Amino acid sequence: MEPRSGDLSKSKLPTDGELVAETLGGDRKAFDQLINRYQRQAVAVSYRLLGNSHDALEVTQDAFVKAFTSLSTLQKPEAFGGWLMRIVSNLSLNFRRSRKTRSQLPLDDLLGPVEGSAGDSGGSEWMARGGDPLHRLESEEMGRRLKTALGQLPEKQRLAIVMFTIEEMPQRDVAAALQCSVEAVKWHVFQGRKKLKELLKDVI
Amino acid sequence: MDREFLISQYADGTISDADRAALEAILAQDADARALLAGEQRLTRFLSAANAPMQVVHWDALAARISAAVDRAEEPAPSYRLVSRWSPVGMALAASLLIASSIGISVYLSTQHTGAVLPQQTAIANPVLIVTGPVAEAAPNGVAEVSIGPAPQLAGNSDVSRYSSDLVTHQSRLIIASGINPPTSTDAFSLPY
Repeated sequence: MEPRSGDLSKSKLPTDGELVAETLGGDRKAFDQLINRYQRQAVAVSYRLLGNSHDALEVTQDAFVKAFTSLSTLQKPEAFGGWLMRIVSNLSLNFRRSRKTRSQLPLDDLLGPVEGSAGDSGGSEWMARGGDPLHRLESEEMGRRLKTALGQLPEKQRLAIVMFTIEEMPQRDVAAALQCSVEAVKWHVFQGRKKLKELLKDVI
Repeated sequence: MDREFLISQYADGTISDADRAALEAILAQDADARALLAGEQRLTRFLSAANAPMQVVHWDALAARISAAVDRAEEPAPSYRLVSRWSPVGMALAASLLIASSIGISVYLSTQHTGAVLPQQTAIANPVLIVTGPVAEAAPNGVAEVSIGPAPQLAGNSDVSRYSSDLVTHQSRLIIASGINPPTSTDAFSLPY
């Protein structure tokens, strides 16, 4: 069962496979369409793994560059989305190790204020919109707890939870990103949720 | 299938229609199953509520920046389909050649680097190893020990002493056994190193 719609093949837009083929054929603009199609998802996944907007943008840019230079190694062009998310997640997981030696890109011009709230410290858009300071603090604490709990999950469970449960990516794309079957994604999500319930039992 | 697994899938909306019907029948009758489902739903609400909001991203500007970074990157290589073009035997041969070449180059470079000089056999006028006497025949149980090393008359030869210190680090001993009677002394097989 695949309730979340990520299938673009039924629309009139070119499919990922077509855009990959056009890019490999020398059409650079085709890759720009892939950038526009996947940049939100890439930033979101990286942000959930890193907890920092600047880092997420930097990783996203690096991921697209890596995807472009490695595009001919993509075995299934239709699976570009999942493949890109694998690059994003790998770069995100490696990012902290190299953070100290990296030069920060000037990305401030790409970022505005936090959506619906006054801070970027781990709170909830859902709760912060009300502007109630007490609720905002509560929301930020929840965000911190979630981040800590996610950090305690095995890597595949963490990625499955972030991509599928939080970012609502199609299971097929998550499977491509994790290089496993859809059934394995379901199992990782199940095991991850089970551990999260245990880790967060005092707040849920 | 594990009931908890089904309930988790029910909560995140990925359960199959067939399993959904069966699980709903269970949920209607089983309070424990309903408690499990309530726990899953609480977690789902928490995950939704605890999602940290991002700063607003100017997506058009980000796309332009990524595109510019891609422009600066190398063009994608036309193909990496070596595996499908080459037979396994061809790949194995290529790999063998590569390994052999690597070893050859490594050996060459290591000798160049260390400046090691191989012994010039022609520089030694006299033999290094001399075995004297029919010691095997003289041994009462068919066992004899033969010492191997520089001949005594070459002890003062600087070439021999130089190479012998490199090539023979211990006083070597060769055990020769013959005849049908095995040696009775185990000491005969105890090498001194």
